[in-house]
Amino acid sequence: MSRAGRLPDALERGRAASNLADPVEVVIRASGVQKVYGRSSSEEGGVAALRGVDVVVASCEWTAIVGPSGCGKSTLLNVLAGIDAPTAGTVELLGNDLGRLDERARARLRLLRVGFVFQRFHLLPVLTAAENIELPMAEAGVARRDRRQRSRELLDFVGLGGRTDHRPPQLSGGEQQRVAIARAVANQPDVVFADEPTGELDSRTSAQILELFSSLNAHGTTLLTVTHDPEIARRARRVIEMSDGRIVSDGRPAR
Amino acid sequence: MFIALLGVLLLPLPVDPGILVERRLAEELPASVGDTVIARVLGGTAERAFVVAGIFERAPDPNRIARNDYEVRFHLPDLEQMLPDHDRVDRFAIELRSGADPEATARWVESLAFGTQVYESVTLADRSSTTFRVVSRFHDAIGLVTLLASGIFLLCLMVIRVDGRRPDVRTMRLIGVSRRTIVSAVVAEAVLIAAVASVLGVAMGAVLTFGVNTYFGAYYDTTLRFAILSPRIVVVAASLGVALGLIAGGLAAVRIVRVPPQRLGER
Amino acid sequence: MIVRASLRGLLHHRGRTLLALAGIGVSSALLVDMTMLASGLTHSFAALTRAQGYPVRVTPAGTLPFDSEAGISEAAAVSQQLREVPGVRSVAPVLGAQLYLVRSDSASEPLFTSGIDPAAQMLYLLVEGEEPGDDEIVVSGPLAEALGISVGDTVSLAVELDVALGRPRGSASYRISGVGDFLFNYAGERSVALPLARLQEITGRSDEVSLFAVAPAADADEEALVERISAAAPELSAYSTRDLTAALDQRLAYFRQLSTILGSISFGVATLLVATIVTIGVRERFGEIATLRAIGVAGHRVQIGIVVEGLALSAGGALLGLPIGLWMARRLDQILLTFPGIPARVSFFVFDGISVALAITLMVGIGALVGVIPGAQALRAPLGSALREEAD
Repeated sequence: MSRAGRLPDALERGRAASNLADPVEVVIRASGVQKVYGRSSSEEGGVAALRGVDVVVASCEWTAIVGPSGCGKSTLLNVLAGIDAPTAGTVELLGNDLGRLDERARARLRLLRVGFVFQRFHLLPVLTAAENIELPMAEAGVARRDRRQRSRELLDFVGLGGRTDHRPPQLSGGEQQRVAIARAVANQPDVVFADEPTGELDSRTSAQILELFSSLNAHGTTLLTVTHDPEIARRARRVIEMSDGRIVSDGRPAR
Repeated sequence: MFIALLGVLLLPLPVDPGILVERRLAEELPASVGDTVIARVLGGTAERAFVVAGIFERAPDPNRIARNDYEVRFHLPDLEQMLPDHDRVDRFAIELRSGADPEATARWVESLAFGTQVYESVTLADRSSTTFRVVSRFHDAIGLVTLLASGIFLLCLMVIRVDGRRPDVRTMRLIGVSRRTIVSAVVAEAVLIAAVASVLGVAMGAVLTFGVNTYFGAYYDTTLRFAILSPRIVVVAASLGVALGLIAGGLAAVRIVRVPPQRLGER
Repeated sequence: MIVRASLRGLLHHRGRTLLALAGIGVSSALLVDMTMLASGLTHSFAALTRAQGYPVRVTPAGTLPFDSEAGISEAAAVSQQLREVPGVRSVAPVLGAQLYLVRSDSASEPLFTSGIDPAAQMLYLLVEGEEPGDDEIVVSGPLAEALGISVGDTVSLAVELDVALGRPRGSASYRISGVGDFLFNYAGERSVALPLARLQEITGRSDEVSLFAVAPAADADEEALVERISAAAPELSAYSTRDLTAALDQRLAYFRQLSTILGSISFGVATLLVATIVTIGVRERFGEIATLRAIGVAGHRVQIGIVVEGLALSAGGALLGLPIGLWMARRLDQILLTFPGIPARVSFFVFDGISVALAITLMVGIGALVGVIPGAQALRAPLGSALREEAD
């Protein structure tokens, strides 16, 4: 088993030097968020996934969103990350009111200050592990030499130093998820959103991923994780429990 | 006897012998039956007046399609009178009695009249259709290229379609569906696509044929048909289309069933 | 990186990419051919008309060169009149007639015979020997080859066949002074040329020619010269090479239009093929595109990747199509040059770099842009749903 390594110096340096990552006390502030799917945007005509959610996430927090399938946790994550637009309510991400940003500005915000980890990894199959990590850096304008070095450091960090040139189909599920985590933090984001990051993995691999998340959070990355995995919920500093599109409890996890 | 004169100066004037004028020329002048015109042979000086005795439609002749020269018809003696050479014709048409052997007659006439060449009408038709045989060969060559391009297109389409269904094929293979069944399904789909496309192609061909005939008919002012969509062409085109579908489907199917099922999940 | 991913995607789906390239290659080959055919014969014919430095033709009023049996009478005077037109460097008279080759006592083979001025002629290039003097002729290569004759040999030619007497009339022997490459002959055509005065004499067409070919002075404008000739000899028709090619164009309108139709079809097929491949590629990568958007890659950057894919396919196919097209053009030319009466020296397919480049550029450009619409659709799709779809 490869253990998560030390967070790359480049990442630390980047964080210290970046003026994009101004420390903010509140990373996410959402109020009265509703999301209705379907033709009609009213609750009567469509399917209400969120029914008035208020949530505030502070810097450096690791928050787990839990609840039964279909309770709206992934929808909430997407709305908070600016992937989905709420039907009603406001979302402020890193000091930016998402409702006031156009798609280009939201994309820029996600590129530079937000990281994503998906349940199914969503790596580009034609690019190597290193190239997948380099992709967001290349889009952010990081020089080729710097991004090469940083991708190598990140691969070392996630324990895949020897898999630089492997393409995703040549990697196991756990390895792909580790590459996805490395990609998520490539641009030293302030917050990482993870949707069921261990949902596709066995327990041993899940534990490795958890180690990585712990390490990231320990180095000051705010984490918001949607999960069914009780271990993630246990490791998080805060657990939001949802049911039927509403937050039913919000507090520290039971140890 | 008729002869085409390439440039006949025709002016209205009152006079005598009859002349037949081609409809297009009559429209161009304009002239109608009873009008008098003056004819002069190119390069010559002799002029003569003629009365338009009738207006005729030129027989549709593919050999002359691209030429815009007009036709008028004189009585032979009238024309001879205007030409420097008298008692001279370009050709004779000979009508044979029923049962006469054209070939033997032709050779007999040649032996009788030194320097003449006698052709059967079929031979003449064959010789004068060389141009169209060339055009036909050209179209055949273009048709082959088109067939090649559409074959590749269909094969490409089938490969993409089959590629897109790799997970389904994988599942089918894993639950024990035989390769043969999968190949049959893919081939059936390709043949269906090709058959539907062939029907569409025939419909498009009919529209195009109509368009081509209408356009070129008006362009050359002729009743000739430039494109013909015969039942034979429809059958050949449809058969080729279905055969292409069969080949394309077969190749695409064989390509996918040769991949082990466990590798079919890879993108 | 986005571009690299797109190109690598093409390599990844090697089979379909190769098929697409082959399909686009064949279609663009056809497009290249049709572009070459559209104006090939006109260009080629124009080059042939100008080949010997005589681009202007003067014919009996209202006729095209050798389009009728009409002749120009008082040829010597007209020739002098033409020489006096400002800007005329040289005048080459030509009389066309039919003579018969006499062998032993039979004469059957008609030969197209030209009467020319050996000092100013534009009909042939001497391959062997010299210009004809009195009682001398120049024969075409195929005739020399067929009869096994060469310079110095003698052949007998008759003016007419006497049907009543059953023998050739007005036959005379001519010494072969040279073998010529007759520029306007069709492949294998047997013909002869002899001095104009001699042909006029034996055919009884005294002081008559079929046409004059006129060479302009070095600084003379061809079109202006034609206008001056028309003014000086209004009873004749004068044609510049442009006029002649326009007349040819009119007669070959069918090929021009056919090439337009087939060119458009091949263009459409190639575009459709690129569009199909790219659209399917985009659809397959719907989830990938959603991922790229989710991680913050700007929409226009994603579009660049899609455009590059279309561009690579259409440009690759076009590159492949160019040599195929040139090869096919040669083959098709061989077919079309069997048209009766077409000069063997012309070509239906002439490579016009600018036209071909324009057609190919248009095809490549459209091939590159066809992906923009499916790309825009993928980019407009709600991101959350696209990600869920990809996860499913």
